[in-house]
Amino acid sequence: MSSRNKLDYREVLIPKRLKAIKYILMIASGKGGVGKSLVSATTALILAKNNLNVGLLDLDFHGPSSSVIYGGLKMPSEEEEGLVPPVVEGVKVMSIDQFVEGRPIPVSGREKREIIKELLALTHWGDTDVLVVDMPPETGDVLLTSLSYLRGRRGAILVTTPSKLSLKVVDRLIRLLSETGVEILGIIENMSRLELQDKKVSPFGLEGAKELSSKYNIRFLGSLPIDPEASLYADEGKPEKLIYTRFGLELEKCLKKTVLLD
Amino acid sequence: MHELVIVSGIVEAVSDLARREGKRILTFTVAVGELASFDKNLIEELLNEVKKGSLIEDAEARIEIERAEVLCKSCEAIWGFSDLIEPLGENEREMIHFLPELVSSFSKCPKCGSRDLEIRSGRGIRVSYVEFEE
Repeated sequence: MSSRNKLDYREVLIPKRLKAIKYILMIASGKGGVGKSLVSATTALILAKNNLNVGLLDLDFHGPSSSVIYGGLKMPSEEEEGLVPPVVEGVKVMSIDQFVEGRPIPVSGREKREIIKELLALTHWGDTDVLVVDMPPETGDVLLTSLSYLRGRRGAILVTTPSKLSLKVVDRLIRLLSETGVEILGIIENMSRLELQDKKVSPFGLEGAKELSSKYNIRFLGSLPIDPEASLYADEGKPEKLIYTRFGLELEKCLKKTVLLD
Repeated sequence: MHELVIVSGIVEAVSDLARREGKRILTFTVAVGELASFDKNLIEELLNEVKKGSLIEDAEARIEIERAEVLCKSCEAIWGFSDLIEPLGENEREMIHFLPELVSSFSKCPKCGSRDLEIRSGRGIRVSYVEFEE
């Protein structure tokens, strides 16, 4: 008897790779422009500073930023075990930008899904306490593919700004994640205020993220300021300084309210 | 070097199939896509080595090259390996070797210049055929 089969080696390799990871932390926002990538990159640095073995996987194809924030990333090295990510400030980092080095990434949803499968199958993370995943900034098929492969002990932190626009998308995202059985560790409100000398200005509104948290009975982890110093260090690629900024210190307080650092 | 991981995954996937079906596999064919520029002989060598001691040890592994076919969705022209990959430098080809979908980051349609490219065939490695014992 003969049979046509399309057997995908990635379906075999991905669960094996993820077995070596104790916790998958997904950082999601449903849309771009809310600072999700800076939160992801800084979260990984904070966890590493707290003596955890940490990986960062950047799945934001629209604007992979971890390479810039981490001061430029080397190519993963090709070993018998697969692709081994470079380590920056104690964080193993894998990003699509390591392969394209700033070139455009004009790929369709189907191609993004293939790339995600390939990256998950080939990356050798080794024993890892927490894999921080900068999730695709959407609520469509690429996000769903990521969720379907990122199996194991996992949870999500949602990032929003106080703007109604951002909150509406996160509202939709909460419902989507709940349906797919992903535990939501909490909501972080980014860009909540700008501190100018003695004045505190909230340019995008107030309390929206807290209200959204109450609506779904999700923990509100805290709010992060608009911090020009953090923005500067991210632009200049100085991760070692990022965690000691106001933004970094406030983010650490948020993480201490979760299972990751409590 | 990451070929070893891929081949291990293939051997395990085919072994799983034999187990699920409860049948002996006589031959299996691995299609090696042109875009990823894998060394056919290396894949063959690794397959024969890795399947030793596995459930499919006695199955014959066959390798076939799958031609690359990339559609420009803008002008509908179809391109092959020699049009899109051969003109690239070694470093760029290596990136496509790891992630074939990145072809549109490194190449444009030679006719209209669009990067709206879709891989029709020949991307990476896949098991294209399995023959079971009667």
